[in-house]
Amino acid sequence: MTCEKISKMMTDLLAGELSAEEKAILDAHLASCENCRKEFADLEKVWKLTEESLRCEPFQKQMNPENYENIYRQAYTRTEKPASKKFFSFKVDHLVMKIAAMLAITAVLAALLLPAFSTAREKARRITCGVTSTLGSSEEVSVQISASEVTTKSEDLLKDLDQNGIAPNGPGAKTLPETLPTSSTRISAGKYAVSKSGAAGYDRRDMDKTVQTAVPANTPSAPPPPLVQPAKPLAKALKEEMLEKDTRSRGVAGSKTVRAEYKKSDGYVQGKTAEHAKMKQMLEGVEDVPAIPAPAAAPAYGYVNAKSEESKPVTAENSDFLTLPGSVSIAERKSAMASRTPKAGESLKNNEPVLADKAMDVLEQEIAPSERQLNESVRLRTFASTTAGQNILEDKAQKLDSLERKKSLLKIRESGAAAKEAADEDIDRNGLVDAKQEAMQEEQEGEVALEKLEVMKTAPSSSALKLPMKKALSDGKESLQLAQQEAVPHDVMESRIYPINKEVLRDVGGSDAELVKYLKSKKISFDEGAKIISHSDIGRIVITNTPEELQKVEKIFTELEDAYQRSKEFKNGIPFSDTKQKQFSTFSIDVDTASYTMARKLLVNGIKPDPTAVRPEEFINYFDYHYRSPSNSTFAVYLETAPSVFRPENYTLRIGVKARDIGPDGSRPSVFTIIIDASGSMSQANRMDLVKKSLPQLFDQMKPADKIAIFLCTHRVMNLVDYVPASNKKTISKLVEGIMPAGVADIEKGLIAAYDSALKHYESGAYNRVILITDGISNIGSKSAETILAKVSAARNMGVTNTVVALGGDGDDKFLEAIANKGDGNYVFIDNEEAANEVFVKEFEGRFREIARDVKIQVEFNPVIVNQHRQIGYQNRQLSKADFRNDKVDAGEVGAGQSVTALYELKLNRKLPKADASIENPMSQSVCIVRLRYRRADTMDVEEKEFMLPLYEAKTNFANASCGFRLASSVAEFAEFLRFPDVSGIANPGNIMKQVQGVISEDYKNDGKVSELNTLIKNVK
Amino acid sequence: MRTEKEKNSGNTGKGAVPKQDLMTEITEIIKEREAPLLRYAGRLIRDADTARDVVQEVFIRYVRISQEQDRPRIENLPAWLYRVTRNLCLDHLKSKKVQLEIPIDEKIADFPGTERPDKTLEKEENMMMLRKKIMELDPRDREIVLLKLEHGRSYKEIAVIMNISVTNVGFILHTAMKKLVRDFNV
Repeated sequence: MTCEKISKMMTDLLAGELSAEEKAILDAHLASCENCRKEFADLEKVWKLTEESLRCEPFQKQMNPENYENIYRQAYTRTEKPASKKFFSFKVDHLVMKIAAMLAITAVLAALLLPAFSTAREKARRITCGVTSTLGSSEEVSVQISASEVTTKSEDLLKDLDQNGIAPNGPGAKTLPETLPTSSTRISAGKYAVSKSGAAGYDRRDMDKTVQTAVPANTPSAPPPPLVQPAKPLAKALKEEMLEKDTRSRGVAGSKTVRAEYKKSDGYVQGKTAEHAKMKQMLEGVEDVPAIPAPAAAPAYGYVNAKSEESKPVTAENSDFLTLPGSVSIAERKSAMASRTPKAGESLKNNEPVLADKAMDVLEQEIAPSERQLNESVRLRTFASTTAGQNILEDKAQKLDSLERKKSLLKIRESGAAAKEAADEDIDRNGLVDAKQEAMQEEQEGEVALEKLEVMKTAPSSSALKLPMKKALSDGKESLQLAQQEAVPHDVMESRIYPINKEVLRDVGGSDAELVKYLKSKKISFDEGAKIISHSDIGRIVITNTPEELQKVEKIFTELEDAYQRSKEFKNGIPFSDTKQKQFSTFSIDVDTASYTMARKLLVNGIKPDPTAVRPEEFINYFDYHYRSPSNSTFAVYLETAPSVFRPENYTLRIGVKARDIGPDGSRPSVFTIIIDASGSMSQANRMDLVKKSLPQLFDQMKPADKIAIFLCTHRVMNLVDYVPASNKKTISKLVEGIMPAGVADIEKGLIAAYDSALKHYESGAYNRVILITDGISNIGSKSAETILAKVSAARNMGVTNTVVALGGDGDDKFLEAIANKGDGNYVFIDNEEAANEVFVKEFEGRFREIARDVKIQVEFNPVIVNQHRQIGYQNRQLSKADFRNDKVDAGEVGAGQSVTALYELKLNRKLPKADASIENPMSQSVCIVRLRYRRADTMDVEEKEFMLPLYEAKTNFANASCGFRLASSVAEFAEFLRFPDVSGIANPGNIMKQVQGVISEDYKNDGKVSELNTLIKNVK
Repeated sequence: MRTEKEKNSGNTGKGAVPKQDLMTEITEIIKEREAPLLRYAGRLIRDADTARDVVQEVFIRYVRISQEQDRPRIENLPAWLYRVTRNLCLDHLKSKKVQLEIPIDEKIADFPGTERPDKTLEKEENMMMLRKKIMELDPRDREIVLLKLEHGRSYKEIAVIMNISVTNVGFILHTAMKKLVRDFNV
């Protein structure tokens, strides 16, 4: 009986829950264990004291015994079940409710019976038309309806509805039309007539208003108000509707089908850093938001209105959709950009603002349509119809649209670029988090705007471009004009403007022909109609091509820009931070190793990994540096610094953190929820077969009472094993054996189901973990990604961690890493049995038994001694200084026995104080102070420890540094070699290999990992 | 009384308990259980009046359940009472959009007529400190400590009251007590 178990028994004893035998065991143990005796004495003392201190609080005043009768009486008068809470809070009279209900039913019935009054043919047609928009038929249908009949009915109906307060909202609805349009009034279940959420009613109703003859896109509401109203009030009405809608719930009945039909899933974009990814997303194209049916037989309609509105410029106030005229937005952006203080040395920035102004003016002249044309296009788009109407207006609309689009896209890019710059600055100055937040805010706003826009969508082929509403703008934030590309048929050409610094194109060439050649070499096709107009001297390129190609071009340009920026930044080697400007370096620790194992897989096959997928911290953490485990405390921290062997004028600082071994926590039970991707791709080698072989190994590590649940992810989610004790591992393994991967897997659904289940079966005091086994999640939409990550984060707050096991190596690495990060989990990549064994057996304690969560490190550099510093890796894990003590901030998790290593490169002051061990104030002679802050997984308490590295402990020579130190340096160098190709100052593989070999011969003779590293480096040479 | 009798006769079905017996039973139960329930409710919701209403409601429900045709047997009466109290308190908190905090004051107001054990200054300080440390626990952990140490409910009862598993109760209590011991010794 371990002391830990005895400890629990003590509590149980004082709680009166021990059986006689258990008590005997306890007594026996106490008789022989001094520690436990003392512990018991303490516990008993505190227990009694707590009892007392809780019980001595004064009583509440009790009931008068006379009241007992009342209670009795009350119980009897309540003959029915107690009303729900709602009733109490609303205090609604039953009678009124009944009347309202009856009227509602009457209204519904009336609406349903409406078709009965029309001709039979109409009925038949209506039935065959179906619910979704098929517009051609409606034209014919429209003729059938007898206007007067319908008028009367609808009037009455509306009156009824008005009276009963169930009228659909919206200003337009109030004014009843004189005559009805001959438009179809396909009634779908009449619910729109009485739906309180004006949402559904709003769409259809207002669409009807704009229709003069037929062609409403989707089913209009039962009483069809026709339209004889001029456009202007309509616009206002629409705007009001839109703004009103803001406050209503977002759900739009019926448009769900629309959404599903037309929404394109946006790829989860891989960016350099998280917020870059978000930026890229924003820039990734434009979505068509075709809005409202147009008058089919009245091409003059739009023009008529335009005439009446001729002289009115479209300003932010009176435009129905916020097509920001160039001047407004640019001014804003100019001022916004001006307000940003440029950081010295930032390359692109120097050109951007100036170019922007000049370029915009030039471009405006060149492509800006006249205001009137703008108005026209707005109107046209407003009433741009779906397929039926489009035929008539298409050409004109398209022509104007393309102009519009160019402008809007330009704005989008600008705002994106400006925001990107801002984000860049923020990173440099305040760390990623601020920028991330901003970007997230913007994205959220964009999302909100997008949601609102989706309401407008009807048809797929209209090429209208919508911009978000005033509301977003009026919030004062730099408005995110977010829209996404519709699924447009292939032959539709589109023009886009790309702002690009001419320096970036230096190698490519700035002329039209050169650009075409370059893009062709990057596999961009230039079919008929596609062309390039280059204004690279003012930094703008106009490209006309199909949307898919344009997207690819987008990516290529971004790559070019990245490469250029890197080359500028890294002209003199990897840039450092000045200690006086940035004295603190705060980051979240990371024990993931996937980046290394993935890179290894590629290198073994002679392929160089993508630099952005190389995370040096994961390379470094893959190896074992022989740190000694702490005996008492949760962590032991080892600090060491020595001159760098690769850049001898600099120093390397290594921070090693080692977690204690499992110890008493081993008695905690586990609840593992495993979700396995069973898609067809998993049937490839080293995927599902590997899972089948290695999961049993995992089960072997678990205790019999641990619970296991397995979910299979195909197009639906299947529960294979439902929280069965691990003692049944044979059965469970057999079930796993029988998995046949095939078809598509909806990982998003699977993850959500797994997490929900894990939370439902959450056991406090246990290791609750979700284990995701997949070969990749392709094409995840950003909204789905957000949903999943939010769920993961919420679960983590509740105490559920995760482990992401990646197989195959071609999945979306960034997203999988994000899941692991958000969930305080770890992310591993397994490509063979050995690797599986590592994770599931050798590293089991570390990976599946968390010791501490939210582990953060803050390094405070001494500006007297350290001039400049830079951190190697941990780019995705930067935190702001304030976040260090903010215990709500999510950081990494460390498992039992795991170690974490972080490296810095330092430029020390030329004039160093003499390293004197006897000096009175060691702080003045310290290189840095390292703080470690974490939440213990067993007690959930937050602890913070501080460590100092005095100058006199600095090694004078690289060779004098410990073996582990030298290995870490070499690994870091190799990682940076892969991460920053063509940057000066980084050692070549030959030199790195020399160091590694030296290390092997000393302490690492039998370390397979290191000899493998040696081979990899050799391959790269 | 007459109306009550009429109502009563309307309500009594096959399995209902005759009035007089129920009345005595209720009186007994109330006398015995009201005070602790009031304390419990008072801990969960700050408002003394609402707490009183809640406890009254609990007893009303008990009466009603006892009236039901197929009278469902309540296995563990105290656990049932506490549980209903808890649920009603949570409903109330939810309607006011307040989180369950279970605040425990550091200082204990003196109230005439309550037990006043001999308190030395040191002991009083200790108790205050303990109460402060109890406040540092999670509300859920705190509730379990309350139910066990103040109300003396068994693990099983606590599990029923709070709708968690029995083993959990033990674990959480143990962890919480360990923390208190540690804080105390520091």
